[in-house]
Amino acid sequence: MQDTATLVSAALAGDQRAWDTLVERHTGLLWAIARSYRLTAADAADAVQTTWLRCVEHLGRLRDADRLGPWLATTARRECLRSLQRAGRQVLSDDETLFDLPDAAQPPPDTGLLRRERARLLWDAVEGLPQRCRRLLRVLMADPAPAYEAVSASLDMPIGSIGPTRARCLERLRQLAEVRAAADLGLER
Amino acid sequence: MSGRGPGPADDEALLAELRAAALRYDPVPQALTDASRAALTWRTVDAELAALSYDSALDDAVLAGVRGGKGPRALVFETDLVTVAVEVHDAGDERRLLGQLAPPQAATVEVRHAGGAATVRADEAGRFAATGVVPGPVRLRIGLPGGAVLATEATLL
Repeated sequence: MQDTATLVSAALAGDQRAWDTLVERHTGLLWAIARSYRLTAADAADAVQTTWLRCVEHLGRLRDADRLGPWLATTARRECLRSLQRAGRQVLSDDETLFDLPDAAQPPPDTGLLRRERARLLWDAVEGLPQRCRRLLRVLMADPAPAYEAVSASLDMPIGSIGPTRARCLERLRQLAEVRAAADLGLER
Repeated sequence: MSGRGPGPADDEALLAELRAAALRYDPVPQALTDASRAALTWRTVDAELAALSYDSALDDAVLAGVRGGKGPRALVFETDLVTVAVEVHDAGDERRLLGQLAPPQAATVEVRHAGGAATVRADEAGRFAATGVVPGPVRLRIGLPGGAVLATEATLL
C-alpha cells in the first residue's frame, strides 16, 4: 500500500491513479463531516467537491504528508460552515447537556434481532443523540476509519478528549438503542 | 459475561457496526467520488492563482437584504495586481457570467466549466461576458497584455 507522501508526489506530477487513491482514502471522512453538520446531500456533495478543488491547489504547499488528512478535514469543516451560512442556517453551539438522557430501562435479553433491523436501530439512535455525540460518532463512522488528528480537525475538538468522549457517547448510544428496542417490543404486544 | 461495563473491544465492535450502518444508509454518492477524482484536472498550471476574496453568498449584509436583497451572485478573485469581479446570472439551466477586470485592460478569458470551455475577450474597459456556462466548478484563465496568465480559484456555481 502506497504511503501518502508517494501518492502526493505522484499526483503533483499529474498521476490520475495516485490522486484517485487519495480521493478514495479521504472522501468517506469528508462526506461524514458534511453529514455530521447536517448539510443536505446536495450541499454536502458541493462542500466535499470544493474541498478537493482547494486541495488540488494546496498540494504543492503541504509541508508533510501526515498533514493531508487534518488539512482536508479542516477545509471541509470550513466549507460546511460556509454552506450553512449560505443556507441561512445557524450553527448551534455544542449542546451542553451532553449526557442528559432518561435512565435506561432494564435492557431486554439479547433477542437476536435481524442484522438489518439492528443496523437501522443503531443508525436512528445516533440521530437521536445530543448534537456533540451525534457529530462525533458520525465522523467516527466514516469509512475508512479516520485518524484522530483528522477527527480533531473535523470537529475542532482537542485530540485528547476524543477517546473519553467516544466512550461516553457509545455508552449513551447503547442505552438509547436499548430503550428504543424495548419500546419497539412493547408496541408489538 | 462479567458484571463490568463495556470495554474498548466492545466499543470497537459497536463502531464497526455503526460504520456498516453508515455505508448502508448514507454512503458517499458515486457522482461525488467521480467529481472528486476529476478535481485533479482543475489544478492550476503555468498561471498565477487568483484566490476568491469575496462571495456575496456569504455577505451578511446581502443576506439581510440591506444591499437590495437577492440579486445575482457576485464573486471577486484577486492577485496582488489584478482583481476579477464576476456576476453570475441565471439563464434557465445554465449561467451567464458578466465580468470586470481591474485595473481595466483588454485580455483573453478562457472560461472552463462542467460543460466544456470557451474563450471570450475582455474589452479595453476590462469587461467580458460568457454564456452557456454549465453549473458546477468554474474557473477563468485570463491572459493579460503583458503575457502574464492568472487563473481564478475553481468555484462551484
